[in-house]
Amino acid sequence: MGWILPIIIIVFWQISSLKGFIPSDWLPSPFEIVQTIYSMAMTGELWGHVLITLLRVLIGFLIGATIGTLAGAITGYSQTTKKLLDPLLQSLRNIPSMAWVPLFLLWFGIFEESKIILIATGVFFPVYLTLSSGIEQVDKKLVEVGEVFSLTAKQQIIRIIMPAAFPSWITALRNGLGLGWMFVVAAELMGASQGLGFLMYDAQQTSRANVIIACIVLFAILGKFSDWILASVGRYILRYQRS
Amino acid sequence: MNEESPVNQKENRSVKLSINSLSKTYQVKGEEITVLSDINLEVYEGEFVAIVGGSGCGKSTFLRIISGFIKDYLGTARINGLNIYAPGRDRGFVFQESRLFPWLTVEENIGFGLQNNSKKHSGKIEELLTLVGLTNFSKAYPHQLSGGMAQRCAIARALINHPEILLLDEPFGALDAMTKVTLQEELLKIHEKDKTTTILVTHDIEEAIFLADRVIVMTPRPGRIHKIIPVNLYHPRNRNESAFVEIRKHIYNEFFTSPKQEIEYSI
Repeated sequence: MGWILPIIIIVFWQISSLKGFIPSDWLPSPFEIVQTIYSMAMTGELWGHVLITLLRVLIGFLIGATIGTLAGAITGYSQTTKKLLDPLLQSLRNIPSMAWVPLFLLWFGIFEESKIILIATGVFFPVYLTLSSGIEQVDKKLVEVGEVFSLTAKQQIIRIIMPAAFPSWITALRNGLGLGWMFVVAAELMGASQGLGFLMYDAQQTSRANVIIACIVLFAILGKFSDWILASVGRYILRYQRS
Repeated sequence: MNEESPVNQKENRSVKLSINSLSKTYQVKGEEITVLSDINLEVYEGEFVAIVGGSGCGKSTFLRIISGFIKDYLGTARINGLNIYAPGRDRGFVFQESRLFPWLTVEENIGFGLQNNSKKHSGKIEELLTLVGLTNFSKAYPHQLSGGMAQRCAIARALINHPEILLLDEPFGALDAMTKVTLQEELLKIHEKDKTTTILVTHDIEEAIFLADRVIVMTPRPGRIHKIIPVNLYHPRNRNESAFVEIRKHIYNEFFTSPKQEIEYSI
């Protein structure tokens, strides 16, 4: 069902472009966009950009997700730590991504560090928030079963809290990854010499609408695909939830 | 009360659980509320005791003291002469909800309480699977089980360490009437087989009479033991038999005639 509307739009868009209703330097036809991606892939121009963007997202995601997981786990488990950390993190969370950029450029320079730290910052917050509340909401009744069997605190964490909070951790990572993709664009629009975001910026300077839209499409595909990988891994590990 | 007088050699049996002048109060908004007042009880080895009473009579609190969840009580509570101060593997606990771990299979859930999951225990798990009739579901996950099956699994899990005492807190309260009767029969079978000392808390008078050697009637505000009624009937008991019905009437009357007590209960 979800496919019907996009297909209708694409067909309508393609026909309008062919009939000349839409100027192609303003909005190129779907066919032209596919062709743009294809030719960029053929000349090899595309791969460098895709690769560097993927690497930035991956490294930023790994750093942000690791710190977010630690912070989420600690604050979810200990109310004292939550009371200490949460108000500060909650207020930092509301700072828009672009607001960090000048500061990070100043602190970490215009090269990779500032970009990766920006992405990691974006990933950190949803991972932290989702996991923290996920652990907090672990069914106390299950924890009580652990008490019946005299589990130590460490056993409680490993045998009950971690598996019980696992579904929310997967959700946390997916949310984080989504934010990672948003932040990589911000990072690359600011001053990069490579990457899909840079390619978009460059295409805008040279008025190549087809390249801009091609990049948007690629971002959509890469974002969706990386989320699908995470979701599939999660589904595989959580297969006990389904019949 | 009736002619039949089977297995009643309590005198020769050792005391498993002894409760002396047990009281429990809660502080609610500066006010002191007594949930349990001066409870005295001895439960013998292998005995099946049921505690009935309306809501607020403290029967669940009583069970949670024995389980070790509640530590700040007055008086003494001892198992085999040792004071209860924390939860332990010598007590099995079955809750109203099955509380199975959704990420573990039936057999993994049953084996959860084992000290170390070595291979030599697999025989133990298998034995319990047979006992509760879940052999064919050993590899199933909790969401694939019916309510009754989940509760059987929970009972097996509670028995894994050969507990000194099995504690059941309204274990069949959430089941439909038919499943409930089947599980009561199962529980009886299990008790007859391994003779674990069992304390069942329930609001179902009939269930208490069907299963227990003695029925303890509790009244609320403050929660105290109102009467202890022995059930000297052979198993399996027939719920429609006159002696059974007589005991039921007797217990009902204990509730209705207790003076100045508002009692909410259901069967």
